[in-house]
Amino acid sequence: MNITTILQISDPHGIIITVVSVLVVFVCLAILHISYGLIGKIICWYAEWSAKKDGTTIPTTKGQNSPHDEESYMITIRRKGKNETIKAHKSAIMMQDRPKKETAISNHIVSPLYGNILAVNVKIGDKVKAGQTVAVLEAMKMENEILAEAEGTVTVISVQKDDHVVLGDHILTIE
Amino acid sequence: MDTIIESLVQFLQYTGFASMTFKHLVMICIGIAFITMAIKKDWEPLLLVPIGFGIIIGNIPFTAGLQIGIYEEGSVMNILYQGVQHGWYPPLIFLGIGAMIDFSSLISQPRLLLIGAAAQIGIFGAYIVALHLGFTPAESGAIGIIGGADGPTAIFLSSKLAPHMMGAIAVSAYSYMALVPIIQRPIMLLMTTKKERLIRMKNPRKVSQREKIIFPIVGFIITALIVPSGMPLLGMLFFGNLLKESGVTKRLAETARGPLIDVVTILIGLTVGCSTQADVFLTGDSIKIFLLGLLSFIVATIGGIGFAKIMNLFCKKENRINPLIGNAGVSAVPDAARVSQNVGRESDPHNHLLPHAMAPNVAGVIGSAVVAGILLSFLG
Repeated sequence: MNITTILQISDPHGIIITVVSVLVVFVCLAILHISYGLIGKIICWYAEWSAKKDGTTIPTTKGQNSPHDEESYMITIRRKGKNETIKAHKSAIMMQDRPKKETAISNHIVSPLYGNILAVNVKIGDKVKAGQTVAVLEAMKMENEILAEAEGTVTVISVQKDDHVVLGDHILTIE
Repeated sequence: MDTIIESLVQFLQYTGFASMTFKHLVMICIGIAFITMAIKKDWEPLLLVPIGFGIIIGNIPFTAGLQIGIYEEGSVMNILYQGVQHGWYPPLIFLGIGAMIDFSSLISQPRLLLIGAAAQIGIFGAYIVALHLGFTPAESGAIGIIGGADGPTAIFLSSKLAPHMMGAIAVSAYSYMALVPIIQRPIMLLMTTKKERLIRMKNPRKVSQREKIIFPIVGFIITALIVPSGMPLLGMLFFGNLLKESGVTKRLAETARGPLIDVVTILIGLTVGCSTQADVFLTGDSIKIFLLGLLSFIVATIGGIGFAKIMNLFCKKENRINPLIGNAGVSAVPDAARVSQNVGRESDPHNHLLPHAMAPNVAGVIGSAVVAGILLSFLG
């Protein structure tokens, strides 16, 4: 008796195969989830431990100089050709985390995606309105418009056309 | 004089016009429609142009026995078709995909792997319906895999389980992949509330190079140990990713995601198109396969979004998932993730879901390869 005949007799509606297969897929990806969650944590702990041991800092999106200060972040921006590290409030940078009704101005616009800058539509000194497109970012062959969250004047631009940016990179500042 | 007329008649009999039937004309029109869709609408042009032209090549009638046709042993097309028939083109494509994919988003949010698993439910929805329509278990499994939204996986599994249906399954899989934005958008809007569409997810954390290198090794060992039959696809996928992330095999990674994947895409597209000869393709079964493929895509999308909503029931408010990324669990990298981004921005122009949607999207690739392995073990 071949497998087809066995299945046609024992599982005519395909329920057994469906249930078993779905369970196997979930178990497989859940094991990957759990194991990789653990590996990620171990690697982060190791990096922090090495950094402490060496007395250096590790690159992270959170404020490195104040690891317990959950409200602030250190970001590096390029101003007049030089790299400058500035401390900024969480509400200004983490646009994604900002509560909907919060009125604070997101004056530092950071890259929401990994990709390449296709265009910077403003210059230093330009006045922009909330919702205006300030830059265009290409990610996954898609053009994504970066919009100003608040009205103001552009004071710093850290990127130029064709620059590669990663998540959290500073794009520009509106004050 | 008689000899000349006889030769002329014989020549005319050898031309395609003499054996042309209505079915051939229909197939040629389908081929032209594919090419038109690719050029005019920009729907998966890298696949639809080779498949469309392949359909035209495969449906020019000819006299059997001249070693021309794709099913005639020793013909050029038959030799090129071996990679499809024996299933070694798909793992090569997976090698290239592995060398292209960035698993960072998944590594930083491993819980989103589960959405990629949930979206595989579409495969089994179509499997159950196919069984009830009278297909054998092996044929049903091959049809169901269309819902994995992964052309190479569909070709790999159907070449093993139902080689006689591979043309219809492959064309169906690639067609629906091209139509992902059209199929998924209404389902996403129907299944989510305005409030859910506005959920802003936490930015994924930055992932270190060490994590990126370890992921393909650990990922392969775990998945291949659980489903060894998925090894050809999973092995190539994770190997390609290791080439990309190791940092010391840049040339190999560039070849895998560049010239190699391009060559194999041309060969796979052209020969799959060629295999859709009218007499084997234009059948009632093909229409059923197309309808089941659509069903499979719809159920997969519902599965992904539904599971994201279920996960939200157990998440703290700040860790909630925007259910619009659930559709990306079907695979179809990166098109499905782009749909999440576009639909998300329709509700909130400042909300970028792309980095989050990439996690279930690449998890879907792993998930569909795992399911292919499971079905191969059960039905092969």
